[in-house]
Amino acid sequence: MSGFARAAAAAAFAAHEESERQAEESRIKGTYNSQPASLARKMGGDNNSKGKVPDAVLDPNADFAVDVAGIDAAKLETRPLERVQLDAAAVLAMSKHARDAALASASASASASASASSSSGSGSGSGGAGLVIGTHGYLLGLDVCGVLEATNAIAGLGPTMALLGDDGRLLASAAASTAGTANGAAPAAAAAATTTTTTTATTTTTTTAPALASAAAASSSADRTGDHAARHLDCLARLGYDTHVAGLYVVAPLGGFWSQALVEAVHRLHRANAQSVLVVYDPVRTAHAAPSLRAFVLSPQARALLDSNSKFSMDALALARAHTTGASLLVPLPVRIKNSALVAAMLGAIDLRLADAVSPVLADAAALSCSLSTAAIPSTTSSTSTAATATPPIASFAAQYLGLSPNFDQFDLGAGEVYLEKHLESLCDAIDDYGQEQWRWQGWNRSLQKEQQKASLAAQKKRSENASREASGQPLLHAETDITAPPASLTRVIANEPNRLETLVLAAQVDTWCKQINAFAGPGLTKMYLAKAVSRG
Amino acid sequence: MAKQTQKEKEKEKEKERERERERERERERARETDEQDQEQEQDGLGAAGFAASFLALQLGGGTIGSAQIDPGVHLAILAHALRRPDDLARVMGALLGSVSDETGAGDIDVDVRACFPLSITENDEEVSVDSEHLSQMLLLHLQQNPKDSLVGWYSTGNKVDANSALIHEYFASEFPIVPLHLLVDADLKDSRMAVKAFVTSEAGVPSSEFAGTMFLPVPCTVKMNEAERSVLDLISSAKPSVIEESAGGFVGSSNSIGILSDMDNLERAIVAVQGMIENIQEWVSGVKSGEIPANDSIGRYLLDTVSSVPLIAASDFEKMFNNHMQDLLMVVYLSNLTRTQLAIAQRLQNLV
Repeated sequence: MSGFARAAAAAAFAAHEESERQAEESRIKGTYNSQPASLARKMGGDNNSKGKVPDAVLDPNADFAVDVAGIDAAKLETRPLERVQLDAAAVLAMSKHARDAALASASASASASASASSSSGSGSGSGGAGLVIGTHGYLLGLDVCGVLEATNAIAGLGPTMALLGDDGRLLASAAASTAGTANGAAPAAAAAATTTTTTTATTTTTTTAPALASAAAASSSADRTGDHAARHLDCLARLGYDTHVAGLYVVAPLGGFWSQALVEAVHRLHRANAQSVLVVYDPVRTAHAAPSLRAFVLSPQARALLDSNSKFSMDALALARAHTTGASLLVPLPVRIKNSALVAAMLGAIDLRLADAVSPVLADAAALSCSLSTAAIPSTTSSTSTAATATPPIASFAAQYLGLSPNFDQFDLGAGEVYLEKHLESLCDAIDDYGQEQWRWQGWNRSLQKEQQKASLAAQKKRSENASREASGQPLLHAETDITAPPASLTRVIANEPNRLETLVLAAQVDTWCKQINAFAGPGLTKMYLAKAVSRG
Repeated sequence: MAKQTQKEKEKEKEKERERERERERERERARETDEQDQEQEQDGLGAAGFAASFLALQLGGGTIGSAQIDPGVHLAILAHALRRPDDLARVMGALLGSVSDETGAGDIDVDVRACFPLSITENDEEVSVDSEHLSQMLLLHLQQNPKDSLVGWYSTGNKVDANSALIHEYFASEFPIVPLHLLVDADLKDSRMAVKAFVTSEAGVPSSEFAGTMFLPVPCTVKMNEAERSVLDLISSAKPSVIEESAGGFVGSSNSIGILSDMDNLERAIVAVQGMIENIQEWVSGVKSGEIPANDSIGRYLLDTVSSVPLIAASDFEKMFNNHMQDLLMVVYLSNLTRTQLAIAQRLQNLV
């Protein structure tokens, strides 16, 4: 069996394991997960005797004999999410994406971005389904026992979110499922048919027809994003990575992430996959102070409102009257970052490298090595133990204080001023917008009342006419239904109601900014007193 | 208000400068040793005999002088190593980034910013790359970030062997670059995680059929920007979780840490600085009482650090301090006011 076929079998088996896990999940949930079927179709699409793939994977209707012997049954039940756990690699991928996006927008400010934004604007307008949510990406992972574990994060292309299919998978193009499987088959076929002939001295790899048969209609940016993401997931799936879209992440400098489109996007994600989250990463705050990662799910009231009525009419809002404020739309969840043991070792190595550069300077004095190391060193890092054993004590001391942790950049007082200024500017803008929304709503309310008055007057007139006709014994001129039916103008006005969601979203944004300013005050004051103490003493 | 530099920040800056100087010296040393004494790994063609006598080096313009790697790349490589199927000895992937273009004399610096995994199959005799996968992933990543370009490839393991030479040659021939090879030891063979970077050069008599390749080490450093540094700072302080609740049920040793608020983070840093100051104090008192032999360089270093605190007249400082304090408090008061007003407005609107 040729080498590549073996790799194909290995990848198929890895995908098989993954699909088993998900099939078990979905079975518990009670919905049939169609992923194994489409995966099987992909693998089986070009099975020209290229090696043995398990039959269970090929046959779309086979009942997977899931081996749950080793898995604790309690771990397979679906619980509402109470925590989000991100892998360190995912967090760094997010931060890299944020930095790239910032650089790209800064450099391409004049020419390219103008065209890009116009095209994305048209994309969102034309498709009607594309949501412009800014720099974003998708979290891949799985939720286990109420903890959503995201192991990887891939970046989304452009500001428009990709469309989601009914089972939560990203669509490759707007021409939904049929094109999806065609897309899935094409890369698999191209890959499987790549022949590799190797000799001892050289490697030659012959590639097949390179033109990937992607959906032709990739014109609107939602399609482009979906294409990009779906293809990325395909490639990752072949290597055994998680490909289940567990959530959405958004890059929001200074925490300005609230927008109608984002709430819509989260709602759509929830509809497709009930156990999904939104993670907001704030690169500016991360650079100044602690890493800022927040995870949200839609609150139940918000979900009910969005499900029931897309325009948030007065009736719908009356349902959740006393409980719905802007900030209560999204419920925050605690976030944890997880390292594997290898990551811990690597961080230790980075620490050591930083320390090695310093230690030749300080190691001049042999006396140092005994005195400083025996001093009481609070053990803040537990992960350097593996690597620190082989190093001299001075290096370990240095590693603990000069390495990665703790980060002394946050002592910088000057950065805080700009931070506060930007916050205040954004706050002013947001309040202006809020005021405008309020004014607009008041105007609408006034016109609604006028129309209602007119309608009631007309109804009264008709009734009096009816009564006079009755009195004079003539047939009724207006039927009862005619009288009570609202006139066309009234219905038009009612339909014109400004979207209450906008108000809620703006209010939530202002709230977020105020909270952030408050949060900044604590450390700011502390730092100032620290400076005072240092200058005194 | 003038920026208040604290003693510790100055100390940190001093140490950074020292580190920079050390790195420079190290780089020079590395270049010298390259030219004199190559520690290379030979490929399986038995070119070992040629090493000492035939120094067919092609150093000079166009080779890679140093490599700077983002920490995200390291973590992605480790994640890939963790995910490999059990029968695969090592994993490989491609590196993306940018190259500082110095087409003239001098070495180029490579900046590695991203990576993606490749599916590679190998056994003892042969190794093959799924080039379709490679080109597709490359296209996707370039769509994402047009500034990146392919700069090399990585693999796990702790030595370079014949297959690596073949893959390296493949990369050199398929793409118009001088590829960089990054070797990450994910098995922790020497009880530490070694990350090495290499370029190749021909060994042996040039243009003869016995010519081999040798891998020359390139100094590589980890380059972080502020955001990444603060994330890594948080991650590296993770404690092992006591109760193991990973999905597969296996009891591994994974560490997790919750996101700390700003105050917690600051507190940690301040406690660390306090510890440092206490250590210094102990040392100084030890020297004064004669227990510890005095060290001139350290003493002068400490003196420099202490005197780097700017001297500001007390009254001026008080004024600046009070101004800043008042600004901060006023902003906080306004934001609280805004929040309250907004909350009232929303409740009122709900009543309408």
